[in-house]
Amino acid sequence: MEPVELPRRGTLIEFTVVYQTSPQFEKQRPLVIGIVDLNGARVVGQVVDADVDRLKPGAEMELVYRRYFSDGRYGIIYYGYKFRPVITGGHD
Amino acid sequence: MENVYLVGASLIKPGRLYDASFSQLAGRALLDAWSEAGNPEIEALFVASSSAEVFEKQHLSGSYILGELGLRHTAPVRVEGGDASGALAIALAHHALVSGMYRCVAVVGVDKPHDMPTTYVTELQSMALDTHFERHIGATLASEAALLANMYMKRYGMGYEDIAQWPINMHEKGSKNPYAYMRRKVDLKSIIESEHVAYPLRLYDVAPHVDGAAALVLCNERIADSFVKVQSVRIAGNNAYITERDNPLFFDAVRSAGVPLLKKADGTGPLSISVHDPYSIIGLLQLESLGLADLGKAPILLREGFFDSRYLLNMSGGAKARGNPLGASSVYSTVEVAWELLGKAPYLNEHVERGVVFGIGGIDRIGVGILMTR
Repeated sequence: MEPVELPRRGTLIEFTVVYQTSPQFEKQRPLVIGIVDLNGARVVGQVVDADVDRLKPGAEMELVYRRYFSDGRYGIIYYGYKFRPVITGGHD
Repeated sequence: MENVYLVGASLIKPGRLYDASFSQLAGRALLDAWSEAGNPEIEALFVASSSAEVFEKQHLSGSYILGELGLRHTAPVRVEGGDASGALAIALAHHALVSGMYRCVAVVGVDKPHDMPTTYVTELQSMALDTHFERHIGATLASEAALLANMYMKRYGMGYEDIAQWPINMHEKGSKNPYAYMRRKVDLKSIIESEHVAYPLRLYDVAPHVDGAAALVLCNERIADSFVKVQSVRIAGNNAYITERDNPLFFDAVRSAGVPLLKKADGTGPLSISVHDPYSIIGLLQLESLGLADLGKAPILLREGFFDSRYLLNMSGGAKARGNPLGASSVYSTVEVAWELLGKAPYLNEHVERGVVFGIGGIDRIGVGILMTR
């Protein structure tokens, strides 16, 4: 096995809106959890900056670096990838 | 190869059981099962729980539970397999007896989710997902069940009402079970009007968490007056993420564990089948993965009464109506099906010849089957 860098853009396969979360995510409720296909590698991730009523499988998504949650005021802040729809016609 | 007999079985009515600690609850269930078996020497105790270390902050829970029974020299064995912990513990107990290493062992399933706020229970259940790539990013077990439900409805052109057949059927059965947590029937309207938990799954698609404990005494001799033979057990795993499975709507571990047992159970006379249903879609997909329904047909067959005319399916009301005691679930199901075989189930007058109990952990990460006969 060798590590492979995945593309940062992909396609939304399916998503759900989650109203019951773990304690760390309580303030961010509801969460949108989706499956995104990154050139054949499918990963689960949060979908952000999306209008859920207009979000549809097949949408083009891009990976963004965001905060997951933090351990109180002085503790560790956990960061990682999330996905957002690519806004066509807009600017990056 | 020794035969294995179930000689004592008991369960505590599940609910919000604030009057007993984790160990006390397990001890109560064990004392009943042990006394029914005639108090044989118990050489090993297999403890099934999905929360002991996380909620109870208790390692070596077997040792503390044995303290409740005053058993000082019994081997304490802790078994974790998510919601399939109970089935896994029973399967391992079976292996220990088949080998002839032990003559009598006990199994107890125990969990107390009501000791914790709901968000913590959601987190506990999410521990059945990959801790880095799923749980840590915010995915929950319910969210992955919801993704499967969306895929299922799209692939087979179904609506939410089809998925809702599961809670309607389970509540109907649970209404007759005096040991069920939810003892009322529900109609489609109340289900559709209930709140979303993870779209499209609603409150009624989620089995309510309950505190509970259930216990079994298993021996390789028929030491009690009434007994059930534990004919065969199977454990199967699946280490593919739902995103990388060829068909995420087909549960491979459930199939590997279950289909050979159903073949062995083939015969005449009523067959009782129990599947674990933390979410409606998980119950439905198991019926299809076990080959009991064609792919994409389980909700329709359920509505048309196919399963209920051919088998005794989740007669206790499943986790949906009886309640979901997490890691204790399959011990509950095994006690219920053993009672059905012995003619002792208070919700069933039918004569049952064979019974199979299926446990599932995570989204088909582990599948365990237990076949019992009279």
